[in-house]
Amino acid sequence: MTEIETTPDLLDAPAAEAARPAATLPERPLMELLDVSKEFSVRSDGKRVQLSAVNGVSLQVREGRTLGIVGESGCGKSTLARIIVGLHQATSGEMIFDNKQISTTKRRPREVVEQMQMVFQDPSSALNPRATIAESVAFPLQVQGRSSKEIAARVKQVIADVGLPANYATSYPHQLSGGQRQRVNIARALALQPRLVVLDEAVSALDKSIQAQVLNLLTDLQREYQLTYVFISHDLNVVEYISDDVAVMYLGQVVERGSAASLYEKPLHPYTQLLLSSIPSMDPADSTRDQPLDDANNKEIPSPINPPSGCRFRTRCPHAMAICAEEAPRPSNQADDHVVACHLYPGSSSTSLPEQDLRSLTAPAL
Amino acid sequence: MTMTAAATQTTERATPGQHQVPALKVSDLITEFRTRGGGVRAVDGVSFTVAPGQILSVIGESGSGKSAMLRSIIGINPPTTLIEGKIELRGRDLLAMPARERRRARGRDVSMVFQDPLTALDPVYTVEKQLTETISKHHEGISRADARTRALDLLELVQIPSPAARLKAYPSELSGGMRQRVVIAMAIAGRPQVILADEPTTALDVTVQARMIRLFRQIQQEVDAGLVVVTHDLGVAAELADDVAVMYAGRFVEYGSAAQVLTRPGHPYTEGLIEANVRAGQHRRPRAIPGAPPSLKRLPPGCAFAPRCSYSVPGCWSPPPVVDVEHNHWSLCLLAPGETRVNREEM
Ligand SMILES: Nc1ncnc2c1ncn2[C@@H]1O[C@H](COP(=O)(O)OP(=O)(O)O)[C@@H](O)[C@H]1O
Ligand SMILES: Nc1ncnc2c1ncn2[C@@H]1O[C@H](COP(=O)(O)OP(=O)(O)O)[C@@H](O)[C@H]1O
Ligand SMILES: [Mg+2]
Ligand SMILES: [Mg+2]
Repeated sequence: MTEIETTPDLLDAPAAEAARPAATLPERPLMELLDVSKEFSVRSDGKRVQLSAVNGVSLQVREGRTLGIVGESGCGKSTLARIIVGLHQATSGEMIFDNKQISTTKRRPREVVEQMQMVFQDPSSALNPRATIAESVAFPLQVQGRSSKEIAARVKQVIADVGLPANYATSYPHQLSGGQRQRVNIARALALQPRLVVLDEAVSALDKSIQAQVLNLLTDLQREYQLTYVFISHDLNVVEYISDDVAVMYLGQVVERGSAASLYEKPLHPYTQLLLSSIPSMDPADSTRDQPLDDANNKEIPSPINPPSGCRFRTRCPHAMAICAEEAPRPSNQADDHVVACHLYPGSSSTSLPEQDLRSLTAPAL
Repeated sequence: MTMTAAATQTTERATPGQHQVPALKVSDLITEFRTRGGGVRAVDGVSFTVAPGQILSVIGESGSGKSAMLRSIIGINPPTTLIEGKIELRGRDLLAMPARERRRARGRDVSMVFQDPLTALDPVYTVEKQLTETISKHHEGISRADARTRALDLLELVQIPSPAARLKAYPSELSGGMRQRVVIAMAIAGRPQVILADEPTTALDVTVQARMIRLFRQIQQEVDAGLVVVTHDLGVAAELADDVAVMYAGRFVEYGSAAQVLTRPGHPYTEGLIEANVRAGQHRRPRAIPGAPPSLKRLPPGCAFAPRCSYSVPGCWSPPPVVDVEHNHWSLCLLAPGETRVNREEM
C-alpha cells in the first residue's frame, strides 16, 4: 500500500478540466477506481478466448454517500462489485481507498479487507444452513482473528443494529423469513465495522413490503454509522431513491454518471434514455404500453467476447454515426459533474482536439 | 358450505365483454393442498371472468395463492390436491368433465408461461422442433412444411429478429428475452382461449420487459385469448392489464380496472402494497406493511388482513362484506367507501 497525496494525473485530462467548474467535488471520495478492467478466459466454440467483463471503469464514491450502479444483466455490475471488495482480482487498474493506493490485481492486506464488505442477492444461499445466526455473524470476526470476548459483544451489537430480536442469535436460517435472513447478511457484513458496503441486488429477491423495510434499515444504518454504499440493482426506481450518485454500465463500461437527480432528470446517453423510458409506471400518464416498439429495444446485447468497435452501444443506438464505429467515445463532463461517454456530446470525440493532445490523452475519471 | 361474500363477486357483474361467452370463468374456486400438518387452503373461494382479448393481472405478496390459482386452472397441482368450484372454458366446466376429456380441453384451450423460460423449453431440441411439435399437436394432419411456415409466422409475431436463423437454434443459444419470446410463441401456437402467465417478466431486464408488455398487448389483440398474468410489479400490472385483482391469503380482496385499483385503492391491503412500492422520483421513505402474511393453516376469523391493518375496527373480526366502490370496482372491506352488497353468508 502506498500513501499518496494527490489523485493521479489521469484525473486531470483536458476535456474534463475545461468543462468542469473551478471547484471540484464538494466531498472527498472514500473510494476511487481508476481504469479498472477484468477479463475472464472462457471457452467459445472450443477455443480459449478473452471475455471483457469490465473495461476501463473509473468511478468515485463519496464518503457517507451511496453510489448506485445500473445496467442490464451481464454488463459487469457483479464483477465490478467483487473487484471492489477483493473477491475478484482485476486484470488491471488501481483503487484509492481513504487516500491510500491499493492494488486491484493482487490479494489484499487484512486491514483493507475489513473496510469493504459485501451483501449478496440471495438471502438464503449466502448463509450456512447448519450455523446459527450468531455463528454466521461471528464468522468474519473469527477469520480476522478477533478475541472471543470482542466477538460476543460485536455479534450482539450488530444483531440489534439490524433490528432482529436478541433471541434470534441461536436460531437457524430456515427458521427465518427471507427478509430476516437478509438482515442477518447485513449484520454479517457490518460485523467488522466496514466503511464501505457493496450491496449487489441485496433487496431484489424480496417482496415489496419487506424490500421497503430493508431499504429503510439501510438508510438508517448509513446515517448512524456514516457508511458508504455501492448499491447495485436492476430496479431503476429503487436506485434513484437510495442513491446520491448513479453510474450506468453497458457491456463492461461506464457510459454515464452523475448525481441521481441530474441523471434521472436529464439522462444524456442514449442507453440511459432507453433504460429510463423502459421503466413500467403505475401512473397511466407515463405508461409505455402503447408506445411503438422501436428498433433499439429489439436488438440483442452484443457478446462481451467480441464487443463492437468504437462505442459498444452503437449496434443498438438510434443515433449511431460513422465515428461511433471508429472511435471509443471519451467520458466528458457536461454539467456539474454529470459525465457522459457519447459522440453526441462535445468533448467525447478526439477529432475536435489538436493533434498533439491526442497522444497524451487519457480518459478522465468517470 | 362456507362461502364468503368474496366468492360471489364477478359472476353477477356486467363487465365489458360479458355479452360474449367468457374465455374463462372461475367460480368459487378452492385449492387445498394436503400436507402432513393438515390442509393448506391456498385458494379460498375465488371468482372472476376473463373475456376474449381481456388481460387480468393478479397482484399480492408471495404466499397469497397466485401460483396455486393458476396451477389449478391448468391442472398441474400435486394429484392429492383438493379442487372445488367451477372452471369454465367456453362455458363448459372442466371439473365436471371426465378426466380424459378434461386433459384434452386443457391441452387445447389453456397454455401457461412461467417465470423461467428454461422450464418450458427442452434443451436438447431446436426451437423449430419444439414449435412445430406444438403446432402439429393442435392441427391434426398438418404437413411438416406448413408447420414450419406457421412456426416462422409465430416467431415473427413475437418479433424475433431473423426468425429463420433462430428456428435452428437451441434454447441455450438464445438470450433470456429471446427465450421468453419463444415460450410466448409456443404458448400461442395452439391458439388457446386462455393464456396464463406466472411472473413472465420478473427475470427479464427492464428493456426486455417493456418490449414484452407491448408484445403481450399486441398479441392479445391478434389471438383474442383471455390472459391472466400474475405479477408482483405494480408498474407491470398497470401497463399490461385491463383489470387488476388483489389477492391476499387465498382470496381476491379487491377487483377493478387497473387505473381504479392502482390509483384509487379501495382496500387497505392494496394501499399498503402501493405505499411499499418505490416509485419514480420518490423522496419519502417507502412504508412497509406491518407484520407478515398469516399462516394459511391458522387464518384469523373475519378479515384475514385485519391483524396487519392500521384501520381495523372490532367489526373486522367478522367476515368482511363486498363493497362496490365504483362501477366494476369492489373491495372486500368493511370500511371501503361505497355500497355494501348482500353478504351471501347470511343467506
Ligand atoms: N467467473 C466468470 N467466468 C467467466 N465469465 C464470467 C464470470 N463472471 C461473470 N462473467 C461474465 O462477465 C460478464 C459480466 O457478468 P456480471 O458481472 O455477472 O454482470 P451483471 O452482474 O451486470 O449481470 C458476463 O458476460 C458474464 O457472463
Ligand atoms: N404443493 C404444495 N403443497 C403444500 N403447500 C403449497 C404447495 N404449493 C403452494 N403451497 C402453499 O400455498 C400457499 C400459496 O402459495 P403460492 O400459490 O405459491 O403463492 P404465490 O404464488 O402467491 O406466491 C403458500 O403458503 C405455499 O406455501
Ligand atoms: Mg449481477
Ligand atoms: Mg407464485
